[in-house]
Amino acid sequence: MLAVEFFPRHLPYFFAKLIYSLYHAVTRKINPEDETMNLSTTYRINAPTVVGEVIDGEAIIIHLESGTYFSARDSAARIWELVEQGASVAQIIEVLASEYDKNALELSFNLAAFFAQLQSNHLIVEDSSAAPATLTVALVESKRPYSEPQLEIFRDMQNLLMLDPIHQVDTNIGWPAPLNGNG
Amino acid sequence: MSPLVSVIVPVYNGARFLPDVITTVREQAYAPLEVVLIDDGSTDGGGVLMDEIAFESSDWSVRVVHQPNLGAAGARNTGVARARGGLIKFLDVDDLLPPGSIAAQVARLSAQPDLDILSGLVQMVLMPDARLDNPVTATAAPMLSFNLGAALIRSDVIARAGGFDQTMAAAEDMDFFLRCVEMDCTIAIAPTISLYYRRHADNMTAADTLARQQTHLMRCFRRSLARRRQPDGTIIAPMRDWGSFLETMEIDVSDKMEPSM
Repeated sequence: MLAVEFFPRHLPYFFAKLIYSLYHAVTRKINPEDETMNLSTTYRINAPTVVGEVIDGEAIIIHLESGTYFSARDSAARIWELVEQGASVAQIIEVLASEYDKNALELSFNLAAFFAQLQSNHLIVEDSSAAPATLTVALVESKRPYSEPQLEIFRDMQNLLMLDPIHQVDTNIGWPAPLNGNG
Repeated sequence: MSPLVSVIVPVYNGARFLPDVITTVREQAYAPLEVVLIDDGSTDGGGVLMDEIAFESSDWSVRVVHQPNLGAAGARNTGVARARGGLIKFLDVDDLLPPGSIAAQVARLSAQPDLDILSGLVQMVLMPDARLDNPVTATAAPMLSFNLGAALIRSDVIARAGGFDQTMAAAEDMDFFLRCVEMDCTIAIAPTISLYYRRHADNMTAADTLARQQTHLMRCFRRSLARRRQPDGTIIAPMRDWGSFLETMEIDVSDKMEPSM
């Protein structure tokens, strides 16, 4: 009796989970539990520690505390732009699916990995207080070819960024002691 | 014989600072030296004043070039084209040099022929009308920056780097130095103050907020990445960090000026 009641209610879930797991097993060979994400999640840029700007289709992002900078191009730059605009994960998937030659299901898997990378580099944080964003989406005549969003990491300016007075220094001890630092 | 140093001063509506910049260069007491003043389309009467200064400077070489406004990058390129020295100092009209700074830099470059660029630290000095609401002005401590005025540069390096990018309205100095680093120039940053950067109400960057400074930084990095990116998308690495050229963290503060003047 219990089984009869249980099955009809959860059957769609089981099928969805099965397809999801199979897809992952075939394409990424990882446990989907590690990369599931909530579609209603909204991330925000980890300001003021992180600054970023999309220039000619390439997002240049700087983590000011570590002095590391990042490049995100193509679909990754578009995702960064949408995060800046306050789009939820679901909205980002919807926009990308309308602009790129890729279906929403596959996009959601790519995005989970990319958001995990942005988070592990402390570039974005979850924003639980975010209201749904109103996005301005251009009508796309032909979809652009899609490549997986990637984040390039550069540590070759760390000294400059960490020593430059753009980061406030202790006014008594002076440079190179950081503000409120012990030198 | 000491090498000729050309001090290139781009001037756009900086008439009120001209006497100071002439004095600071003259007090260097370095010879042989020439000053190339670029009147970058000034509308404050500075052009006439520059001609007068050149006329009165018969005992040393001050030359003036008048041109329509091209911006700092364009003015500096004109200066390089007119300069005769093998060593170039770019000095902004509102900045000052510590005493003996040019002689010390020339001595080091003469002793080390493989050194392309010798720079130093910058100290901010607040003039009475400086705006203090900008966090970038919050320090009077010697600091590391891309300020051209802190450096003495071999003229052939400037030619090899292709001069300054006139399409850039700001941060063209940072862009220039990044290109020098990409060319694998030999660069040293001595731990001494070699420029007093004066903050005042008319600074070109006075209106700069921290956000705008960061925007310039990001644009320079973008340009550097674009230059270094190969057709297959990979980046030629690594790039040397500007901060890594600083020779020691033991900072010599003997030339430190009072933060307010």
